Amino acid sequence: MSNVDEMEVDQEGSVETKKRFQIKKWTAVAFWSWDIAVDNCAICRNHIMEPCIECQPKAMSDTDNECVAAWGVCNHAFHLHCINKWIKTRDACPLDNQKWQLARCGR
Amino acid sequence: MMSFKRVKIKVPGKLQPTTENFEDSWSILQNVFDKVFKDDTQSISFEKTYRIVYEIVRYRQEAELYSKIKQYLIKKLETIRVETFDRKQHQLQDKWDFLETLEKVWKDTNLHLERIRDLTLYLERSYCQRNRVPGIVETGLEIFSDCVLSPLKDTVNKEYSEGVNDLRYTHVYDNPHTTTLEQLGSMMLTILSGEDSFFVVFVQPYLLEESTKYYSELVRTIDTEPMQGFERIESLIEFETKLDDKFLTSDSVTKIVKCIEKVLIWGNFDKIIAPLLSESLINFDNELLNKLYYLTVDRKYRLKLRHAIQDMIIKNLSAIELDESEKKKSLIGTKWTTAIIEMFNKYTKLLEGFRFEVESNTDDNNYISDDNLSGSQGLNENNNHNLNEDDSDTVSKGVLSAAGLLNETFSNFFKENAKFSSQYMCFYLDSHLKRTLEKTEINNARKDILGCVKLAKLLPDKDEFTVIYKNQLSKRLIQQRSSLEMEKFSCRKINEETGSFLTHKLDTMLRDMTTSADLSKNFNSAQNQKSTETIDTEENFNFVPEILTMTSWPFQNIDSITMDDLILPQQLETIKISFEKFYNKKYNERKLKWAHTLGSIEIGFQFEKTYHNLMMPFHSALIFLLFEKHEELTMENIMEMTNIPEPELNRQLLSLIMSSKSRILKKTPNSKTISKTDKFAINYNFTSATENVKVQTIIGNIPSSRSENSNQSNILERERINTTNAAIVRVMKRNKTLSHNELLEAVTDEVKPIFSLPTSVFKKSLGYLISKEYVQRNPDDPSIYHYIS
Repeated sequence: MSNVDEMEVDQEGSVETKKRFQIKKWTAVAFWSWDIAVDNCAICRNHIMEPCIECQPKAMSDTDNECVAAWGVCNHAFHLHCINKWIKTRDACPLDNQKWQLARCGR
Repeated sequence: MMSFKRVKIKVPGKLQPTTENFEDSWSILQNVFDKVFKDDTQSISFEKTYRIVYEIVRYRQEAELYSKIKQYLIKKLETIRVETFDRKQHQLQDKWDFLETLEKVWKDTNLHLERIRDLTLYLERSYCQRNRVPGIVETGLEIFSDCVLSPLKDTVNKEYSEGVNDLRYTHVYDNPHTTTLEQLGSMMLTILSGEDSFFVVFVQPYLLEESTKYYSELVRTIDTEPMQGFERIESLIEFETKLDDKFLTSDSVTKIVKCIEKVLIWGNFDKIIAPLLSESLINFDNELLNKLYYLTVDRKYRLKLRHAIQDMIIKNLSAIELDESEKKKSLIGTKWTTAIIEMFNKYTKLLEGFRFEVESNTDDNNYISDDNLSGSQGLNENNNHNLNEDDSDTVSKGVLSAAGLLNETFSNFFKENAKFSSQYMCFYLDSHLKRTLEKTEINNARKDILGCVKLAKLLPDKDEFTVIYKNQLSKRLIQQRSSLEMEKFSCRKINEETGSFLTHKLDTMLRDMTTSADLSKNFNSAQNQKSTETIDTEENFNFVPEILTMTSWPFQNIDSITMDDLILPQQLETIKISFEKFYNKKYNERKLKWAHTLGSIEIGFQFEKTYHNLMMPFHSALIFLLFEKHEELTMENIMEMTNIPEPELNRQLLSLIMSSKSRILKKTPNSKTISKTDKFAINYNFTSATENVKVQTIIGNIPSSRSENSNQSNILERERINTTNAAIVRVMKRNKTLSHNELLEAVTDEVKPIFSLPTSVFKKSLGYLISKEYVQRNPDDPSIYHYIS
């Protein structure tokens, strides 16, 4: 808001304003989504856009904590936390049983 | 006991020849006994008597002697009764005469019997004890009871009770008569009649009856003015307790006091207790309530009092009127909730420290504990701690604390008013949270929120509450109408009180806002660095991006609000694109969809007379900004230049030219309908009292508020069906086979912490599960279900 105040001073300072329009503040709302379609994480059943089930309780207090999504080469997506835990027991994608290879992580 | 005889013992010099004849010996003994009854003890020779008894026993005639003595006593006591009572009855008109005589006879008989026992001690020792027959005194008392007391039973009852009433009447409890009554009382307690004492068997019931009668008479004389009547009752009970203490055993005292309490209290409940109770509750008179409640320890009374209190609280709550004079529903709701919270706090203070009785059997206990804990039980084990602290003392040992009572009462009240209580409470929270932008209000708001959330716990449909709250929260957050800190506080409290299963979406929403605030800060500082290089401060304005997680916000078809084909003015487009770049740098795999309809813009504009800050919805702003470069535009022009779809544009334009408080555009020709060729221009004449003007979009022909409501109830029903599905499956999995009613009951219980189950939801859910083959109807009996694993 401090910006607005400054500009107001500007406004009144210039005697003959050629601009009668002055945009002061724009509250723009947007939804984010992953580049490709995702659903619930097949491991923890939380939506991939939301934190995994283990991060969920602390997500409120701790905003720095990132719970990211992970895609395999098979194009299946899980929470990185979830799939990391999974491949410790079995190194395969839970959905198609192919060997798990991490393609990319999304933030 | 023998001491009074000792002096008489002589050295046996010449032994008198013992009478061989039993009859002779008996007549001597009889003579002695006669003397005893005449109190002529001086002339009795202990030694001689003792010897006769001894000889008789030695000649094995003790059984005969025993029965002779018995017969003698029967005859003697009969005579005494006839002589003292029957014949002289006309002389014993006064009850005190009678009672005192009886007391004297009793005392004498006791003494005489003891003496006879002493004289025949040898018989007592060698015969009674060896053959286990009652001793002389016991036998004598029995005979006394049979020959004297029993025939006089009715008279004794009558006179005794009258005596007690007499004392009641005189209102003095230290009186010589009290001693008489006490003596008689102890007499009647000593004498056995069957299993129990004479007093318990015969006199007590009669006395109770008489006392009841006495007080029933008295009750009629009690003033009808409640307060005085109450004081009188109080003093009567106090007096009776003190009086009875003087001459009765504590057991009987309790019985009598209880009896008369029944008469005094129950007889006057509606006339005296109820009005006073109501008075104490309306005036929040703690002292009076205390007096009423502790009038007696009778459980039934307290139970009744408790129910009366609950009924009255509900009555008082129902008396809170919905202020229909307010135009807005939200204001009505806020007022109502404020009144309810105020009541709650007052009652909490009023009832502090009270312990209330609970229906005695354990089933009821469980029921109540269930009720109270329901808010916290089940799905959220973690959050149970806080609540249990309150609730653990609520249900300890069949006693209900004041907090428990109020929770129960208010929860019932909300159940009765389920239609609007959730909604109104949300309005309350909404209006209070909206105040929190003012820092000075924060502390008050914190208190108000806490008070309201505490009650929200008692709502029957917590899911409904959460859905409404979520909607309002989303609006507050996007429009930044409240302090984020306070929103977090409020959500945390709701979470603690109702359980995390309802609030985790709220958490995500709040987290989005926090992340957005961080983003916005970082972005703006990055922008500022750039702009100092390009020296283009004119272009700089406060850009507040709000980036939301799609799944958590209560917007229905998000696709329809994220049409991204609007044509933005250069200024906005530039910053939007640079923000997208910035965002992508941070989150490389993400894509942004702008929901401009939710956004808003603040524009400063110099009208003819005054300068105003116009707060407007994004679409209105797009239209308005077009006039920066054009003096006049047709609707078609505007549509081309903004790409706003026609119905929406129509609505926006209508509100810009029609709205009474914010008419910033004008149209030629000036009419109420818009055709495509109508021309629009800025209404330079616009002016307003305040510098900040809120430009609002009229609802127009889109029935948005109604659709919003039906949307809400749709979401609600969908979520309820989901929860019910899960509950049915859980229940069926446990039980395998259940009848319809059993299932309904179990499921209702299962979902109770969240909402009260409507039958329609249950039916839909069950139908769905049957069609999906989770559950199967019994082919023979359609009211029985089986779980299919």
